[in-house]
Amino acid sequence: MYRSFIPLRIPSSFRFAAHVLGALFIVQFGIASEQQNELRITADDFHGTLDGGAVISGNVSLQHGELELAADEVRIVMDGNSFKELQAKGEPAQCRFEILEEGNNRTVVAQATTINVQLDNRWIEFKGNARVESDDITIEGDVIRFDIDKKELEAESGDSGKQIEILMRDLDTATTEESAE
Amino acid sequence: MVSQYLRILTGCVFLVLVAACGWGDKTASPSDEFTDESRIGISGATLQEYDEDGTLMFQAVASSITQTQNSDRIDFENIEIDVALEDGTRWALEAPSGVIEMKESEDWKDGQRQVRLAGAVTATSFEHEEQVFQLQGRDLLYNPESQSLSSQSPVTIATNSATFSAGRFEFDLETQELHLSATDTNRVQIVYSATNP
Repeated sequence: MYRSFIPLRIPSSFRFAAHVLGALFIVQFGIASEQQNELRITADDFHGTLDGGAVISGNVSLQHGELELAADEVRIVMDGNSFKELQAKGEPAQCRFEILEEGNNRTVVAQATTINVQLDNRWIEFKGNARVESDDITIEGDVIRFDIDKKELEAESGDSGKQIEILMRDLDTATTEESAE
Repeated sequence: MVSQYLRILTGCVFLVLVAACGWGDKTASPSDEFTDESRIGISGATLQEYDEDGTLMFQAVASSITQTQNSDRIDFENIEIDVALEDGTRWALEAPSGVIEMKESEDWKDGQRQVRLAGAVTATSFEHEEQVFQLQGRDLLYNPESQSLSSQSPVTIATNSATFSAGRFEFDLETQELHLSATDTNRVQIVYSATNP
């Protein structure tokens, strides 16, 4: 049980290049390796070509390495025989992935109206009521971007003017409290 | 809509084949013989269908063809349909049996006659004699006019980089556009194995 929260509010239109937060994500992201380059999708409907892009809809669930994604609709953009982009839409679209932090697996859960996974440029963008949550931090904003290689997290408020909200949990305190219980 | 011309032309081709194959090789197989006055069976038959411009739409080779008098249905056994598309792609459709309804029936779609391929069907595409795609399904309908395949039965399609399966599907041979749909028992499942840098 986490009881120690450090809420931070970042002013509107402030772009937060969170190197400190990024340090939390010392990532060996699952989609990086060729061994994990299989993309598995289950859905109700598929429109596309055999060797090109596609629009997949209806209770879409997608797995790509350590990335799991659930959405109403997923658009796949391919460049030849390589994945270029995954665009997921939902109310909300939900995403979950494991990251390796100093030998330990950390689970990140995120949701947004659209989730855009740029597989060639290697970043993920959560847009529209975005929320990214891990063990010790929750970030909410209009737009949140996660750079897989730079291990940076960016959050910004969009047109809605809604402030970015960051909630940091004191894991040491939580751990102590949990141990005491 | 398939014109009367096409029906006549197909009928003519069929009759020529009956004459050429059935009469010319009567001792090849028992199925070569007329089993009764109202039923014609021939073996080793080839059916060629042309469009209004005289372009060959497809060629079907079957181990035997049967047509009953007063019936507008032609039954094929061990049918293999060869489709040569304008872009050079070739499709081979193989099925244990097939049916062509010459008059409008439930097999027809939007006034277009379709070939019903029954049982386990394999459709393979080739480019420069190299296999590109393979589709395995059951009870497919092949539409020569639109060069499309469809089925309300489960299907699996394998390419070099992906596998698709679904409860039903429609596939355009020319554009390679695929529409997969889930049924109560079979959801759409896709496994891509593309290679990213």
